[in-house]
Amino acid sequence: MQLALVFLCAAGCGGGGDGDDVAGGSFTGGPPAPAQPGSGSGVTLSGKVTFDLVPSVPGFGLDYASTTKKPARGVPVELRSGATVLATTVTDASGNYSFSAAPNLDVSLRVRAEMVRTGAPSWDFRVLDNTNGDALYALAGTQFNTGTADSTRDLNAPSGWGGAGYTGPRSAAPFAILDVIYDSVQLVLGAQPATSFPALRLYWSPSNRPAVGANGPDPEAGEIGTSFFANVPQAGAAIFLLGAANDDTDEYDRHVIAHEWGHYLETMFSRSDSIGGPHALGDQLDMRVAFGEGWGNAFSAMATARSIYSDSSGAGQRDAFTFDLEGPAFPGFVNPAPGWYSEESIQELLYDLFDSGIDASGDHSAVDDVALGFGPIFAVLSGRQRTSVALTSAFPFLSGLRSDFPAQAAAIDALAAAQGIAKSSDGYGNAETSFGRQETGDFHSVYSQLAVNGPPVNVCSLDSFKSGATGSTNKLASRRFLKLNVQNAGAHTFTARAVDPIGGTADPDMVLHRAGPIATSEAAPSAQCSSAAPSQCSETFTQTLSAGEYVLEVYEWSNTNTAGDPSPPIGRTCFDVTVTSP
Amino acid sequence: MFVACVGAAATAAPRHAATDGGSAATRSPGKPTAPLAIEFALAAEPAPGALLEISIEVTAPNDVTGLALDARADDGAALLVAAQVPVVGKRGAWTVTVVPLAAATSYLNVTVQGTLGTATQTRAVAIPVRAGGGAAAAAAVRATEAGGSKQAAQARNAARAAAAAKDAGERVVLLPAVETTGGAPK
Repeated sequence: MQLALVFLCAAGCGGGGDGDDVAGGSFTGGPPAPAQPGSGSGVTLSGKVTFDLVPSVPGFGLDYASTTKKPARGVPVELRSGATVLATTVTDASGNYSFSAAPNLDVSLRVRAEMVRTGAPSWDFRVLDNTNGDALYALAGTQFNTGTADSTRDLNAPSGWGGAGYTGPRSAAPFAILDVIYDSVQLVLGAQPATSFPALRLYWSPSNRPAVGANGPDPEAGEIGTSFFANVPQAGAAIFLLGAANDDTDEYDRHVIAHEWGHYLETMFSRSDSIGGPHALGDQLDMRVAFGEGWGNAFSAMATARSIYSDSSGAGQRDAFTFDLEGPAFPGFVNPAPGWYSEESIQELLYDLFDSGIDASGDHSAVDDVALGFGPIFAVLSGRQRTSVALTSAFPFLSGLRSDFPAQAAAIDALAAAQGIAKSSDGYGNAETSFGRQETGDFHSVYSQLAVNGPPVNVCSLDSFKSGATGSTNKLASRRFLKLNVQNAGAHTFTARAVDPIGGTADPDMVLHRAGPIATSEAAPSAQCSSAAPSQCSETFTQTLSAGEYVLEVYEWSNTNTAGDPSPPIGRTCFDVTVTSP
Repeated sequence: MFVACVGAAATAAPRHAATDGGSAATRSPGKPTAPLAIEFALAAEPAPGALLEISIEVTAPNDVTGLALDARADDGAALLVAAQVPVVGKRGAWTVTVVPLAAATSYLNVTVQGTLGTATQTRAVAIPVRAGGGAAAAAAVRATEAGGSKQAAQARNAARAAAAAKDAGERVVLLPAVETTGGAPK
């Protein structure tokens, strides 16, 4: 988190101003009425704003030969005389704009790479250059004279592709990014028309490359590591997107943009308890990571109306990472570990709940006859999932969905069962029977029950589910969960004490949650703690609590580190956990 | 030895005592990737004109077959790729020999492919080669990149932004448009 804070401040806290808001403007309807720059009779200046859209082809990469001109929708167009903005309008759903201008006036047009609207609904999305002082991108036309008759002037943002490489400025990129945001916003507005979207900055640069330095990401230099979403208090919400040609560009990878926007949507309107960290399809993940990433993938297909995710990369952008949301994700390869801890299972489940398609035979989801659309899914995410005491995962989501749609509960349960997720009667997965591909006697419940002033509850932090590709840190059962019900308000003391012989010096840590984290205890072990004296390896913290349900997260700290960390995972480490109150 | 791992940044938990409330800051793990982890190590501190071996190791589940690597200089005028050799007897390991051509930061663009099921999947990273001394080299390249061929487009944008800042009081990167004009609309 410390890194994220520094990162966002470096990219988003400095630089120039935000510019003027463009009030009003609708995404739908007919051509806009001419904006009035001044009084008196004048001429009408109208036209269309487009950008070059290069399709990202699954299994192939970017197909420049199939580039089309697509309307730039919902973006402000300025009529300018030198540095003076005479009038501003917003393009309609076809990219059209119109001004009424004074005759015989030297003017120019400028299209800002932003979508800003006040009122209800409202939004504020801007595409900025993190390698250039957070400057706003804008498409600039040349100066011309309005003359004495009505005229048209179309503006196209070119891709900059010269046939074998980029040979000119990549003017289309910011507008290609906004085009995905436009579709994503429309999807949400279809469910909740008066939605007020919090401000989001989208940082893109041709210099944004998948590299980090010794001290971590450096957005001013373009070393952002990968495309990602971040939200930091005071700095705000941001999506960083790769743009380095012949390595990894994402401005035309619509699923990538929508995936990260899905994280924005989840963070702003629902709740994500995801701990982040590296992940790949096939991993057995901490359930919070699995749900968050599965949601991002599912949303990318919902927003783009394409179930096949495609992310181009490589020389000439001619390679791709591709998977199918309809499943199986990779042709000829069946998910080896489906379940509540698999992002592949979550993405297929969510997308099957959304879509109206019947999946191909042989797929996990052949039972798919549910077609809820986006509204019900978003309602649960922004309602029951957001306020659930249970950590964000498939369980509170499915529990909420069943409650909202009892008539479809059986079909919903069948879809979940097809992904190896058992029907539970609560948001805690109380009936779950699947606990990963690797058998272990230490892991047989999603949550353990902890009682105030009750006997110790033994839980084991494991490193058994580390990934061949992405290692440890955020995998299944490295962090264990206990639920408790506080009857009497007051101070409560939580203790986790190592009990079993272990392969190293144990370091128990804890996080207390109640619809979000409320206390974190990550002290270093005492000097008396050693592998020979595990009972000296303990963690204790006291928190004043009101009555109600809580979730306690307990883990061996090293099991959340990478294999290359100075404190690598020590594996199976068990703790006796207690909570006491006077 | 300078070692870096791609895809694992910002994961280690900071050490601190009990606190009230969790941090509200969030960061997504990043976009989905193929199940291919790429680690690299530089054999020495990069220096202009000196051969530099870069060890690249790709970790992937056994289900992934046919691992292949493509390494190219992001800017051939700044970095020369002299050789790319697989490490005998070690799955998914290569040694790439490069020569930095200037006291600046250059990048080795690495694309890794593997087959999962019947489809080829790809992951790309960029390995920074900071020749001439760490932070100083990075600062130097930032100071001079406006004149470099690699960043020509960015330099044009920066110049336009500076001009626009005088016009409108905000930082703007002005991008050229293709304009088509006509008479009165029908």
